[in-house]
Amino acid sequence: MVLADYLQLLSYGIILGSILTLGAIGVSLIFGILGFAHFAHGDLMAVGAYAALTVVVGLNWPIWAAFPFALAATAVVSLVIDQTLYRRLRRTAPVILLISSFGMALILRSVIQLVWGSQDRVYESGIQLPILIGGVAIRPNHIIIVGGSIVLVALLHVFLRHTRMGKAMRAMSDNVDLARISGIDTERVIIWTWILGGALAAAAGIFLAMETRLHPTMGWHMLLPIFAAAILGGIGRPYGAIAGGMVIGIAQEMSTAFWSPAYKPAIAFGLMVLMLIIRPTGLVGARR
Amino acid sequence: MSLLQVDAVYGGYGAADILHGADLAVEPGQIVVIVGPNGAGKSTLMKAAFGLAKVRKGRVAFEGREITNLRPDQIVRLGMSYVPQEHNVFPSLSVQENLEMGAYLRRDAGVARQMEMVFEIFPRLAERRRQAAGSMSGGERQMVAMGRALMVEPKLMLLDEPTAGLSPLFAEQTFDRIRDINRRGIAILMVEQNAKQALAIADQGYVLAMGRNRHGGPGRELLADPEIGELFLGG
Amino acid sequence: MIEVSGFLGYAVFFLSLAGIYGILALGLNVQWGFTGLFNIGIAGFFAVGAYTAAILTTPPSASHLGGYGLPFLAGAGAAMLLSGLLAVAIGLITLNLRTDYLAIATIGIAEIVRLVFKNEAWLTNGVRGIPGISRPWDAGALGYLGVIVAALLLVYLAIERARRSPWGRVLRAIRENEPAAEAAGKNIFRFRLEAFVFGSMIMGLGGALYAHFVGFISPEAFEPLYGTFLIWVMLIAGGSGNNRGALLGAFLIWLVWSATEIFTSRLPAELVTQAGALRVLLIGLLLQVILLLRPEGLLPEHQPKVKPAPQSKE
Repeated sequence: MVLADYLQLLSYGIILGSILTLGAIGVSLIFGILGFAHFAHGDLMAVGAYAALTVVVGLNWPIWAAFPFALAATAVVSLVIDQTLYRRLRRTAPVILLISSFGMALILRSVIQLVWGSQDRVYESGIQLPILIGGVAIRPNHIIIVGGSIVLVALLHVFLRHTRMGKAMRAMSDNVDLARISGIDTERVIIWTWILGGALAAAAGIFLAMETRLHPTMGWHMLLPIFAAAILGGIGRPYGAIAGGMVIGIAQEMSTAFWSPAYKPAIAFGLMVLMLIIRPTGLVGARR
Repeated sequence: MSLLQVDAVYGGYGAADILHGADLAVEPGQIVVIVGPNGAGKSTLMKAAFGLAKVRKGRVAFEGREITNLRPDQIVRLGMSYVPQEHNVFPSLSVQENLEMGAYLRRDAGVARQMEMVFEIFPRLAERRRQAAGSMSGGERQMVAMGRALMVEPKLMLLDEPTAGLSPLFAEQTFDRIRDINRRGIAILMVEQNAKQALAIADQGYVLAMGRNRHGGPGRELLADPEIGELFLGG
Repeated sequence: MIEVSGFLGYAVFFLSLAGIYGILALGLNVQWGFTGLFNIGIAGFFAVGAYTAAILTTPPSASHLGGYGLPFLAGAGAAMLLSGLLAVAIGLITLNLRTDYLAIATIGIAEIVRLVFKNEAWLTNGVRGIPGISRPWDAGALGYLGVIVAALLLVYLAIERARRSPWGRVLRAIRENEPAAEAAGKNIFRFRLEAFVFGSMIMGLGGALYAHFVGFISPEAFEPLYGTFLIWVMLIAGGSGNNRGALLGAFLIWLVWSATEIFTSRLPAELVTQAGALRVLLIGLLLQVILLLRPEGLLPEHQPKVKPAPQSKE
């Protein structure tokens, strides 16, 4: 392999990293606020991807126009799941939520399969012509994915740093009891957490579908890398998820230069285990 | 009418009661201190007043209105705020953001004015307003915690062992700040291990043992009482 | 050798799989029910057990590792051993961390086990799978059901004994109140590791029994749905912490699962491909309903105590 090949893999890694980042931020936010690992998050990504497909096919709209609708729809789905199910289970141990979300993952996946069938789908057929930059082939979709992710992360940053609700979210993530004592309406914060987590998951799902294809199991297969990214970044810390997502994405793609691509999930797992051994608090480090 | 009135409260956290008929009253503008041996239920009494411990029997009233077993976020709205002993700041938030969270319930213009007042009391916080609270020293965190609780413009502020773990110098300064806050018309109810120092600034003191009141009276009187000194204040 | 057919044949088939699921549910009960260890990678330990038994007991084949032709019991023993070793490796890394990390790590290990079995054709013949795994002792279907029931009984008795032993009491103490158990001088990590390994070995045994039952294994059979999810639903429905509950849950959920197959097989032809998804949806909803309405399961671990003391409401 020559340098250009490695750069090509790096570019794929950045694309995958962008997708993982969007998923991992949601997982991290939910873990921080609600204290459980949301195992249906991968399938929430798939819901977003298929919601966009529904608009693309049903209304014959281009994918960029379907994008905001899919984000909103997935946010609503997340919220409905939380309010009808998770909210009632919150009073018991967080681990019950873990089991419930695991079941929810399968429910979402089977609903997708019932509605859309299990064959592969794409938003638009046809091949995009790549542009060569320094020997690296880049398709327009790649620019949309990476650019879109940057915009979304920037918006999230503004929300978390500069809005009342965003700060309350960080506060609750730091210390739920103190948030309550301060008079923060924790149920409202939870609602916003699902809206954000769901919308970001949808964006991740749509980007993943643009890069590969749609399939009912597309989200489930992303669950491991997403959690690896969240743990690498220190679960509960949305900013760490960005670093974690990029490290996992790039490592997964670069590994194909040495190992069979079939083992990409193993790379994510290996890095996660390594992190659990040497530094369970994540790359960004603990402050507590 | 007392600001806070606790009448014959029984309760605690689980099946067994920790409080066995404790009474307490805080008048507007007072500093009231609860002292007593370890395990007497001092912190529990304060938490019961703030909805953080269960009141099984008895009554808590704030400004004449019954607040027994209301949730803390409901009680905060009425003008009573609480500073826990530990984990009392949001570590990843900056000092200013910590204060903003204290004023979460308020949307009025008074927030900025109130923050200026906090910075007046704790000039050190003004210097460090952008620093993450988690990276500050114990004494500085205590300032942030008290500042956060001041942001709702409380009529009464509850403090759970505000000087625990602080050096004597910092403890001294903390008592000064508490008096400073009190001079601005805010009543204080606190639990303290440093019983002598605390009673010295108290208008009213309560000695709690085994979950109920043993003695009560103006702080200086309690300090002067040889029996209390011997039993509870280490001679 | 007696072969059975018709309804009886189906009953034997049904009971055999119910028995294997019962063993898996008991294994999970040791981990989750007794100890509070969240393993959602059951499929991984199940698969390791099945492949170990298959490779060690089948006749020589050019398409995968094997040809050892070992007896059934040796294969089953090795299956337990290897599943146990895998559990030691995972446990050493994650059992000191909070539950969520163990959960994620077990998902990961199950996925990697499946990837290895799928991609390392020299070892497992890849997606084409390993055929020709015969039943031991020339047993017929009915005879093998006897083997499964005997294994189930042994596992049940062993676990029940463990549950009543001081060891079992320590596990529950750790689950209920870790600081208190630690203060009592118990090496929490060691007890957890033992329970995790014990449970995983039972899952490995379940895998070995499964391999000899179906006679052919491929990575498909170890998807998280069959290998992990159903077993969780079984344990929760039956009552985690209670061994009889685990068995009852395995039987009932397997009954429900099989019944939905009968139902969905009558759907019009164009919907048949969707039937699998519909069954998963139903089981998924059933789990949520159980969690909401009866989280302690049909046979709870503790009989509800009659408490005279008034419990104040939240």
